[in-house]
Amino acid sequence: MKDPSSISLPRGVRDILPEEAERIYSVETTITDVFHRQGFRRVITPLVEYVDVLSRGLDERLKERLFKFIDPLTGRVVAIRPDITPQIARMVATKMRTEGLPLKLYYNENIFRSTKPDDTSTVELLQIGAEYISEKALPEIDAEMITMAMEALNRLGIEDFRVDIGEMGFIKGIMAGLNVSAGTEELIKDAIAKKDGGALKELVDENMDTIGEEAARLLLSLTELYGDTTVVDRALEHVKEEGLREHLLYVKKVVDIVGSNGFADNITIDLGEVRGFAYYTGIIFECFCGRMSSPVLSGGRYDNLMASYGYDVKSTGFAFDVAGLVAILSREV
Amino acid sequence: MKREDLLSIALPKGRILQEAVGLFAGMGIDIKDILEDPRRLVFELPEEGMRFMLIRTQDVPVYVEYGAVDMGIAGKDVLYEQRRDLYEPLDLGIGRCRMVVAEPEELKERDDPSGWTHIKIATKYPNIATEYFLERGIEVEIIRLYGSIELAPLFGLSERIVDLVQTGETLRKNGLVEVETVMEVTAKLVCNRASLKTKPSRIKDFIERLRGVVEG
Repeated sequence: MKDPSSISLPRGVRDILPEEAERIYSVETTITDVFHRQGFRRVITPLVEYVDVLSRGLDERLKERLFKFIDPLTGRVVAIRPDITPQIARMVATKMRTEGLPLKLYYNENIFRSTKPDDTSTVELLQIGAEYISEKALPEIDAEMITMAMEALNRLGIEDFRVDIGEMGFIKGIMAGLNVSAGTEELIKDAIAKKDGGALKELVDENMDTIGEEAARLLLSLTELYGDTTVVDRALEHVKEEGLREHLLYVKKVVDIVGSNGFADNITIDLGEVRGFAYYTGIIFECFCGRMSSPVLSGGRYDNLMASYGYDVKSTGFAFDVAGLVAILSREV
Repeated sequence: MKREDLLSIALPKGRILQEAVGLFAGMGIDIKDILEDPRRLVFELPEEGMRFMLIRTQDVPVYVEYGAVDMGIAGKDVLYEQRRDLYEPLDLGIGRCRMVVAEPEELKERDDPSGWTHIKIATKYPNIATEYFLERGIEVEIIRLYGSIELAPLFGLSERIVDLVQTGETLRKNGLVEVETVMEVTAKLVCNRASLKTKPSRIKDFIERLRGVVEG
């Protein structure tokens, strides 16, 4: 057998031939046109950054997936971007402060996320995303972002989709009051992430003396608090603590606004979603279409991100997976 | 109802299947024909809005993660070994067994597990075995096998094995004894993320009906 690897590509990257490239172009122009109309301006960030600078604004899971190398001239470790959002945070904090707020920016770039040796899924992803940086975190802003993403989907011709909304601040608020060890907290988070009510109950029972009955009841409800928008009202009936209620009322406000923009039937709620726990601080959302198992859109509010680059303002954003959208439009899934 | 609207469930061939059929019977879903003809791999129950497929247990998490089916049933051994991104909403309490460290009887007589620093293990579960020993500070050399693990010590491939036991009969017949329990194993219902997000009420209803049978 001839050696097939002699002129092959590295794992996880691919060529895009004219027909598909044309489809990608059409998706890009449709989405960026919607962004422009909403007053978002394009920025372009570099392919590589110093790893310590990039890491300030990276989700924990992404730090493990960096392509890293040493810049031969400076000896510093450089990484290919696995996410554009921290780059924009750095750009805004260092170069755009004089522009004032709010700042509405978008990007259309490729990113690189390494995968495990036995995982042959895509390493290079095409992302179109938007960032909204403002002085305050307001439900109106998150609702505007979600509505804009949904309008872009409609303009692409995708009508049958669900945007699933969660609230990381709500979960963090519950977790903060548990007084359990860091190890136990990880196990609890893992059980919530898997919606494994049985495992969660065991953990709660073992730590009942520190958790307390009220928090235990709330914690155990997290694996069940998913479904249509009435989930938020159901949660509000059970939650008494003012700080936690504020998070739920924030979600309710966002859902109401997005619903009144004509997208009520496209929203689902999952208050037990813990994806990106370290990174997000408020609303999180993901969009699922058809039989596609990975989301074509994901985003949320990360109010600590800008501050980690020295500019204490709030931000929220999302990104589309362009290849996922093209696959749906080509009816490949 | 169109085929793509049916709730699809992957069932594992083998020892869990019979018990799973019993659970579904408890929900009023009759799929016992699935036990009759081993060559038939797909069963549709349009009146229940459901579709079942039979695959190898190791393949269940893959089908579910990629969304080829909405849900599946798989043992914790397979789930912990593969660590895929799935929801695991319900422990079904079926397919009960244990994953253990076992070694030849004559080795056990002079062996002291608390003194292990470096060991060689033959197993079908390289990830679980590696994690189990590394957590205790024991360096482990894994020899990955695909079946009949209990033969490895007999032929000198490795001194010890990590494998599933139900009654312990197979171990005994091959002159092996258990030294430690790695984990208790039962089968769980697993669910695709996108399925749960896009049809939450049907999935939740199904989970709750099944929970009723498991807990009742």
